[in-house]
Amino acid sequence: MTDTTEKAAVEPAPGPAAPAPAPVPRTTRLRRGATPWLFLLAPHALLITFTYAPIANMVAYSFTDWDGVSPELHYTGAENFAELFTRPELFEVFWVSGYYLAASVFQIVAALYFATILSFDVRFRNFFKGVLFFPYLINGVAIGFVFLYFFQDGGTLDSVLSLFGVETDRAWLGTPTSANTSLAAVSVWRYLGLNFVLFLGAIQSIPGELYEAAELDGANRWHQFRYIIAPGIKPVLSLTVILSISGSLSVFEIPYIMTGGATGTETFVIQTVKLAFQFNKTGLASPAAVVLLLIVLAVTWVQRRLVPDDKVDLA
Amino acid sequence: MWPLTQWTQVNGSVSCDDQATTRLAEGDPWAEGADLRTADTLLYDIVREGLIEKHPTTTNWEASKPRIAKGEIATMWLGSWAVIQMQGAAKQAGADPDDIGFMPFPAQKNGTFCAVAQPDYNQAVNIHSEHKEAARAWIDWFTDKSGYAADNLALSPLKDAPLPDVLKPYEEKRVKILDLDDSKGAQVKFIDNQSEVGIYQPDYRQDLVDLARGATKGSLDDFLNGLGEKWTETQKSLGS
Repeated sequence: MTDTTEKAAVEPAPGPAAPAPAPVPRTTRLRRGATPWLFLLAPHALLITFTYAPIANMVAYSFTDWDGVSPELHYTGAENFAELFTRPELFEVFWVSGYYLAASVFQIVAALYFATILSFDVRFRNFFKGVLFFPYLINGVAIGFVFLYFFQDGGTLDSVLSLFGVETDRAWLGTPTSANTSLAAVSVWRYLGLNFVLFLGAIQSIPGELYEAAELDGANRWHQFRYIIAPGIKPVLSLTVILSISGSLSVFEIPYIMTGGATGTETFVIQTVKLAFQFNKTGLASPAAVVLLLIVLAVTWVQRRLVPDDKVDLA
Repeated sequence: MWPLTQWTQVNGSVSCDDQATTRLAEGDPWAEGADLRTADTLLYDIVREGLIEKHPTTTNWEASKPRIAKGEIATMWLGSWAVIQMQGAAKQAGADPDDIGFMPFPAQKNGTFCAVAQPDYNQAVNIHSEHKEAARAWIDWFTDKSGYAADNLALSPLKDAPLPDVLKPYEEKRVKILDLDDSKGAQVKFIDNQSEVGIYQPDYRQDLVDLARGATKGSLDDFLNGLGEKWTETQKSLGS
């Protein structure tokens, strides 16, 4: 896989061994040199305007006492960071991320399972692919509302359960444990499709001959998974793990829409949003966001150190 | 969730004091006998006794209207503006719209019930406006002729306007209607934000409801005293 991309990247560049062409005029050379930069200009302009400039702003705000609306703001040094780190209760909400972390383990395993199954010849496989990927296309706010009805008293879940003769009087969003589990389940439903598609793409990029050869050698489906698919998708798998961890730490839409952070479902991002827009403490919310960014970066770094991204060699 | 923020509007109804907002700014709202403590204790007791809906964590405004009309819900904490909607729902549900009534907060000061009048739309003419007359004419039309107050069963800002029908019983029972002095309102909001208590947000009352129905552990006194502590400490740090 890596091999082919490298070749593709090398090919267009004129090889030094090629018969010496007539010297290219200076202007043409200049234009040729500038072309890639011109192409890069548009994405860079967008990236800087909408990602890096806001981050720089946010970092700047974290050293001020800005309330989010007033034209006045004062430089307060590291005071906000000091306040943040001397209030341990602000970090307690990370326990909630544990539910989402546990859910994402389940999510990755399920996605891997479905991706493997559907990479083989299965009847209606395109239909099932669509079914699995569809939830990811729906807007998170819409999902929140759909599942509010799903979990409400006498809602979809209760109705479906009663079809099977199970009568529950459970308030699905009623206790911290139950509510967080329900919300994490919604999150699995939503993001399973994304993981699934990533895995499926990686699996399908494994050359078909390998399976054939393995079959001739008498390998069964499990052996094929263990010795061909698993090592073949390792980079994608580690990417998925990073995405899941950072996603679990920064859960927002689903709990914010469904419970607003009540009943022990408040996540770090919900707390930050409330600090900024409910209590007008942009000066305190910005360092909280910076800290979240640093935590995610740190987790990614640790994960990359533990599982280095080796070159995949299936040959 | 938002119906819980409504409970902060008890402010003034228990003490029957038009300086209630000033006392929020200067005192402890959860001191023994203070307005907010009285209301929050009532809320706690209601939940504790199981007198609320089965699943208090979600709310469905449209579905709640026919339920109060049919008598499945006894009381809802809302302004008089909601009465007309409830009566409409009662008509639709085939119930008697006259069953929908309005009552003051169940606390008396020297034998009198008190009710606080809350402003709905605040209108004024901008001093920099180039069309002051037109703006003034709009306000006059809105207050005198639009019928907005009557349509919503609200108190008219006109001095000689009669009380809306739904508040007639207030007159008979001598319920005192008072206007709060809001000169310290901005300061209360500032303390509220700085202390992150959020008396104008549903959050702390959601925690209170969770506490009362046993979803989280703790005692009511600790909870309310904790709020009071956060509030008064912020007052001190702001030097007021």
